[in-house]
Amino acid sequence: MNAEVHIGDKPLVLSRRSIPGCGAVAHFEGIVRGEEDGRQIAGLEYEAYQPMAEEVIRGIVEALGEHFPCEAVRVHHRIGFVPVGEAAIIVDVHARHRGEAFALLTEFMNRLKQEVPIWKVGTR
Amino acid sequence: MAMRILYFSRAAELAGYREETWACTKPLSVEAFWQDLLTRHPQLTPLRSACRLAVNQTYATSETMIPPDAEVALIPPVSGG
Repeated sequence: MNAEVHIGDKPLVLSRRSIPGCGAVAHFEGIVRGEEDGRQIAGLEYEAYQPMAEEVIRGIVEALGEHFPCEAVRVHHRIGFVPVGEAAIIVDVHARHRGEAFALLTEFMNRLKQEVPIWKVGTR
Repeated sequence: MAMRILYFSRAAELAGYREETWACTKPLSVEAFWQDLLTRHPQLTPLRSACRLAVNQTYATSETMIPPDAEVALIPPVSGG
């Protein structure tokens, strides 16, 4: 399975790519909400242990690919300041059928939030 | 040889900096590392139970031996996504 992983401080860009043989693309965007702990915010600040975070993401994708056969996964996570309404993470999962794509995407996000060394470190 | 210690998120806030180096001549167990760390920086004690260690960018277990030239990162509970 092909995995494209990127962590950087630029706004995230949607992909409209399709892969021959794949009938499903499951797409997730994690958007910064306008409120944190009950107060209005302008955005969130993220930091990452970048080389490790990218390797942990690749490892999770590879392990999940054993259970949920998919063709390609794209994970882009933004760090630095992310304004309200913009995406902190975009994940695309390409698969032959929707079942594997949804399953891998859901489990990937669960594991990201447990294992990948990325943190929300503050608000503005 | 020198061990490079990296601090992130709450660990960086409590330590007051993001990186330091320790002169080191022999491998350390995870337990010995924590003892050294909390002797140097007792303000990190509240993180002991929740914080994981990464050694050369891989999560350590309680059995991991940390080489004297390792990069060791304190990994507080993560919150990406």
